[in-house]
Amino acid sequence: MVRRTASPSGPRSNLGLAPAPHLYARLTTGRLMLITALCLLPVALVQLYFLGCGLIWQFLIIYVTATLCEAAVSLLRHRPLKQTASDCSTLVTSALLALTVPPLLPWHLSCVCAAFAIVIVKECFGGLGMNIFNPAMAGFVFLLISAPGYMFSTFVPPAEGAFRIAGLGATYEVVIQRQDPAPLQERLHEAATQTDALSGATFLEGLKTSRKSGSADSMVNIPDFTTGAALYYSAQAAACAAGGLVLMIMRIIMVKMVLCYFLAVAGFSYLGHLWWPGLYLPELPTLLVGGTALAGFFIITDPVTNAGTGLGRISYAILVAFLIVVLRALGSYSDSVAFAVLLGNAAAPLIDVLTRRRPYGVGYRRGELL
Amino acid sequence: MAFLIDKIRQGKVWRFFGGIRPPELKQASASPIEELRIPSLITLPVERHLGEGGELLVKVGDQVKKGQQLTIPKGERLVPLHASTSGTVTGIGPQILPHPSGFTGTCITIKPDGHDLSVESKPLPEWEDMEPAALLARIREFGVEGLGGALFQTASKLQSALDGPDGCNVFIVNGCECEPVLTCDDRIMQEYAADIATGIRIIQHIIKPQLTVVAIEDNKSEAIAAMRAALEGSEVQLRVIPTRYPSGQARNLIRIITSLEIPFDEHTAECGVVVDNVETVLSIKQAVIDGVPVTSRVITVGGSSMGRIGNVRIRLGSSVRFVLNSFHLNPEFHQRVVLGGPMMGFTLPTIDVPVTKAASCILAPGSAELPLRQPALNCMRCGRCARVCPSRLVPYKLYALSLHSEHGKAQQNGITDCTLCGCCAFVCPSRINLTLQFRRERNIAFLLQDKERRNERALERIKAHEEKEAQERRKRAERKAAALQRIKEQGKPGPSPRLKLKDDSRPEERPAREAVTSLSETTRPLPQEDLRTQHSIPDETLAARRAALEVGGSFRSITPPARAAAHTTQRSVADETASGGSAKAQVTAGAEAAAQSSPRTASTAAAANGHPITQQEQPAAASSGSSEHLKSAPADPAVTPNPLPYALRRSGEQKSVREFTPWELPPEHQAEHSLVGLPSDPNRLNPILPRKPELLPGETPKLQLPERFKKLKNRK
Repeated sequence: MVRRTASPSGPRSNLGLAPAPHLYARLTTGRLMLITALCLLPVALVQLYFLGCGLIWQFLIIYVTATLCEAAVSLLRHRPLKQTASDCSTLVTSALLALTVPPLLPWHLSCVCAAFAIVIVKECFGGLGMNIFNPAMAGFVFLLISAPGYMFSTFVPPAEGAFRIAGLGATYEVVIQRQDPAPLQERLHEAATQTDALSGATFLEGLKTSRKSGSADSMVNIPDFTTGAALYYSAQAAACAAGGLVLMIMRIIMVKMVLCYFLAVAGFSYLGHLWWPGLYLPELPTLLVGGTALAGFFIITDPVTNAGTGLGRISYAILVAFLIVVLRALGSYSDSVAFAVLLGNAAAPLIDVLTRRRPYGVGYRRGELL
Repeated sequence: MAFLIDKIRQGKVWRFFGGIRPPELKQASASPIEELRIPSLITLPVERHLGEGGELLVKVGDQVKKGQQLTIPKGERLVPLHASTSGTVTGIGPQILPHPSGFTGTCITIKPDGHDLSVESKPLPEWEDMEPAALLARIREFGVEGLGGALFQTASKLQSALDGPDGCNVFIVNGCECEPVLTCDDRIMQEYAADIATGIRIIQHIIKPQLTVVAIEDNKSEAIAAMRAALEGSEVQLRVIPTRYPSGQARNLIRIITSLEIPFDEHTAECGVVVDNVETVLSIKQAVIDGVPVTSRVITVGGSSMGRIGNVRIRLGSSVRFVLNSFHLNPEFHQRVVLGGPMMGFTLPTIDVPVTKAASCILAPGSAELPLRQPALNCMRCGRCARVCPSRLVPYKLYALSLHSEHGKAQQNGITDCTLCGCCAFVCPSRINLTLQFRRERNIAFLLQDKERRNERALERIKAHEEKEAQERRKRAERKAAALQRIKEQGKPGPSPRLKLKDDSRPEERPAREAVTSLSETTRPLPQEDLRTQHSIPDETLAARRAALEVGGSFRSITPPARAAAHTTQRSVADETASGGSAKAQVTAGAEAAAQSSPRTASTAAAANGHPITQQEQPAAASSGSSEHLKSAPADPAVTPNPLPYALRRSGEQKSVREFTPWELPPEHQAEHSLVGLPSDPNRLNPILPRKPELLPGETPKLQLPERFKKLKNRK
């Protein structure tokens, strides 16, 4: 049978042609990223309150650098700039990076870290959706490994109302004009109302020294989480949970995955503390301190770098939780979230292969109805 | 699992994997089914109703009545076509079909006379006394097909349920209508609930299911009420299921009602579950009880570009343009006209296409109502597509594989399970049209499977052929051995009678041979064995034959001996013709001498000289089938050597070239002769020649890289 199409012989059609389906959901990538970035706002407010306004400068520097890098790469790759800008993934990456780096980090280091995250980690692999590693975490680890001294010296002790002492002006001098951060840190330290075990440079740093001597259990006599530095950690966890809840309600992140992650963190640290109390913290401090909560709601839920199907994502979350707990006890860095996430990212393709979905109709036998 | 059917009977509703909840857009559910006037032209595609070797019952100029059968289809899977109004058949020929690519196909065009006379209906009130087989034949004869859109023939579906290993267990009437915009089934259930109930009883009578369920989505409260009232007192269960697209697809519905996941390579009917659309059930009732064939169907007309929307019973074959006009389309710039719903329908390249049984909706959406798809961004593996896929696929993975032409891996990952429901493309936040890619990949998968099947078939054929040849060889060897044995036993050493005959023929051929040789010194003598027992055709001969076809001569006009002659004596004879024929007499004498002894040899020899064989020379035995030929061919006593190529170029002289009857040829050539008279197809010349592969209907042509990409590729 000879088949011919209408177009060559007939007059040119002026009807609109579009492939099915003609309907689609409202959620787009840009909107999704924007919602995620907005959900990070509570966390940012908590950090502003307890750590001062350094965060604002860090975010601005990182965001501008990241956007410029992204634009340069898309020019090099002959991609339309508008399309690159329409996914707000750079915004999310820079927000996460700004929340994780020390607030008083000198600007050139922030620039380097942002450029590394965008150009090397994201764009070199093919841009959004192609990167293997989480750009924010990779940028943070890059900084941690290449400039550990700076990272250690620019941390600020959490203090209530720190934004009054470390205002925009004071942090401008340190971050942009690269003045010595020590006087500002000193003033913040004094401002911390109560000097307890948590008011060191960071709690995890103190923990590192104590667990090296096998006495981590001496660190866990935390009176309550309503005062001083401990309040900061609980407030940050609550802010993460609030943002995460919004994401879960809007069905942007998987509820099961987040739940499994926190349950796994609690379970592993409970077991660890049971058997080696000198190395492992009990479950509640593990859940609250450091970036555990932030990772659970915002970092491991990054769709690009985790496994694909539901089962794969849950396995990935449990793996990251395990790595966080173990690396926190045995690693030589003070916090382990970034390393755990990167290792989990590296394992994600393998998890994808291992958690293959059951095809439709497997297990069907004839005559099952009777 | 002895209790599953009881569980189903108790009214448990299961949930299928995935699915979406798109906006319903069912504004037309309040508008009753209306009738349109008779269109000015009816176009009925017939290819689906003919099959390979079906028969058309009308010709151009015939008067037809509404409901008159127009085709007799070949094969059990197809149903006949019926005229949808009375009028005159004004054309049977290629017309544009309702297809996204605007393919053409054979259609019957009817000019309606406006009277809308129908053939006498054949009601059958005593259907309950009929055998199921008779009812099935009636259903098929009245053109009932699955009106849900798949056009699976209902009678054969019911038949396969009857033939299945455990008969029919569950019969599900599909009133889900999950696709947005569509309201035709909803309206049918509201208006024809009683008829549908009767249709259900007919099907129950045929397939005798253990359980019958009518499934309706919970967003059709009026249809549910109507059906509930109609099914009052019967054993049929009404099952209200949650609204979720695509619950109306057969496998999803089976999963919802029975919890069974029937694999995609099994037929649901053979597994004991029959699913039929409500409109199909209605048309079964009309076919069996009222005796009215399917000549119309209910469709929904919707979209914000329409002046009004509604449901309409439309005659099959009315054009989409007619429907759009009747509903006052007010088109926007580049108006899309979608045939089918917004999830699975396709945009038409032209609106001058007929409405067929497969169409369920005509949608003319405005760009504000259904915005155009934005350009796609990168996939970010958010996994939404995997969460909504009702076939349990992982679309983002399949998409990546398909983009990189990993066809084998795509098949392993189940591309053939894709039902193209569009859920993945609906939810994708990066606006990737996954369904489009999957449609392509699925076609490739089917093509590859088909090729594999064909390869296997070819290998089997070759194997069978080789076995047959080996067997023949063995038989020949046995016969030969037996013959030798016989000779030995008789004690008569020497050649067999057959061999003797062969020897005898040689001297008689000699004159002709000498004649040829005497024509020109440059000519090589013809290898006589070749002429007589020529089984392989030399390339030059093929070329000559092809040339003959090209100049428009019939294949019969050139005969194998003549061909052989052509390629050996062509040049020399041409020379001789130019110089005048002193050798003519010799040639004729030689030929005549040969003719007396053996007619066949004579003609061979004569032809070998490029000499046309005229009436006198033609043996009486050879002219048994060519008396017309004898009359038409003018008697030409003057013998002129006629070089073949020249004869081929001049059609007037072709008549004088002698026609050979097939029995004069070796068996291979006889086979070829039987093809003569067919339209000239150069590929037919030699059956061994590889034939140009034809593009299958569903096949996608191989991707050709555009020039600029080739350049890029070469640059490296």
